Amino acid sequence: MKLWIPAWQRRGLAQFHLTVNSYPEWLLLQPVPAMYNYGNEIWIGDRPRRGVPGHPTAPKYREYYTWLNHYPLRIVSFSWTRDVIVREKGYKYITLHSGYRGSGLETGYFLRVADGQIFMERIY
Amino acid sequence: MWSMGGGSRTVKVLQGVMLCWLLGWYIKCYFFLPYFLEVTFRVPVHHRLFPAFFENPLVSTICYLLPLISVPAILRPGRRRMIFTTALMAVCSFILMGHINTYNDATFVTSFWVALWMLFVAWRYDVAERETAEQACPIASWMMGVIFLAGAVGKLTPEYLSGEAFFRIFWPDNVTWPHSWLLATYSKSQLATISFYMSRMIIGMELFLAGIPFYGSRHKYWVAPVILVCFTITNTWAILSVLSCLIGMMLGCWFLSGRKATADA
Repeated sequence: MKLWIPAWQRRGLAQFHLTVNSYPEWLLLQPVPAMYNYGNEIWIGDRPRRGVPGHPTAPKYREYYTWLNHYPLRIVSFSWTRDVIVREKGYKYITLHSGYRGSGLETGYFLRVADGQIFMERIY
Repeated sequence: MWSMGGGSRTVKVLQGVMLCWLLGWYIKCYFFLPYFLEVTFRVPVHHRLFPAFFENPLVSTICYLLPLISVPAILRPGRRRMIFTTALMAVCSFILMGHINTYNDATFVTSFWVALWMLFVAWRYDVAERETAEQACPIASWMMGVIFLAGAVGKLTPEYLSGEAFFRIFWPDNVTWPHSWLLATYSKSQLATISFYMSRMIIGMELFLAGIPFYGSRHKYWVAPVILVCFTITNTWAILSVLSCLIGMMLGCWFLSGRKATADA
């Protein structure tokens, strides 16, 4: 169904970006295997890629760009990048873009650091 | 000797698959142990989707270490022990699939399905082997089929069909063999061509594995592990964390559905 139905495609992409509203619904779909699914691009920098009022428009730091095989937001949590995000001022905004057969989802997160903890706050 | 309830072949299969499961679960311990014991406590992460339980670093650490208690059950098997430990493995996998520290790792997805399969076999500990094989092997085939169908469908998109996704994922960062050798030997454009063929080959192999429930011959139970080992060689050995339990389950079915077992049972 994911092959042809856009609603299923969008749901699969939302599963990757953690943009669904219901945790039980998200958890129930977690056993569905999704290894190396979709094309997943990530940008991390000192500004969101899409304009958000109140945020700087010109980057001061070099933007980091990469692709990941699945669940692109894991770049924040699943490694020692946690330390980099806490320490470095330049890496507080993360933009994810995942594409599948013409459907695409772009999500922006602000990585708020407080008391040594990282709060992933969705901005769009 | 194979026909008695709780036959030694069923027990050996359970022991073997549990060992493969544990091998996959702990093969990345060089990353997971410092990650669970130190990083997740020192720098916790939060996302509004996750309930507090699934953000608690203590929960992910306990769930990662708890399957170690299956070792006594492997060494001294018994029906109740096997049922308890395989159920525990399934619960730990399920929690880690939904935990903020681990939700992205496919290790816990394949481990969850194989743990359910082991629980089924453990439940039938005292049942005749032929009967167990007749039910457990098709279930394992369907699990394999669905797992690799989902993997293949997610790649039937221009990013993978063109090879771009593999090109972008593998060449900038991956320094393990054979990628390091390829990176040193070929130009970027040649690597793009290699990525194109590699991508299509992997999709083709996944579609082949997705058809496992429909192949009649029991040779599929050793052919599938050979393909999975090829994945490991061409990808990265770390992917054994995902594939080891599936390799064990398939080899278990090869052993369980053996001619001697089915003839004597």
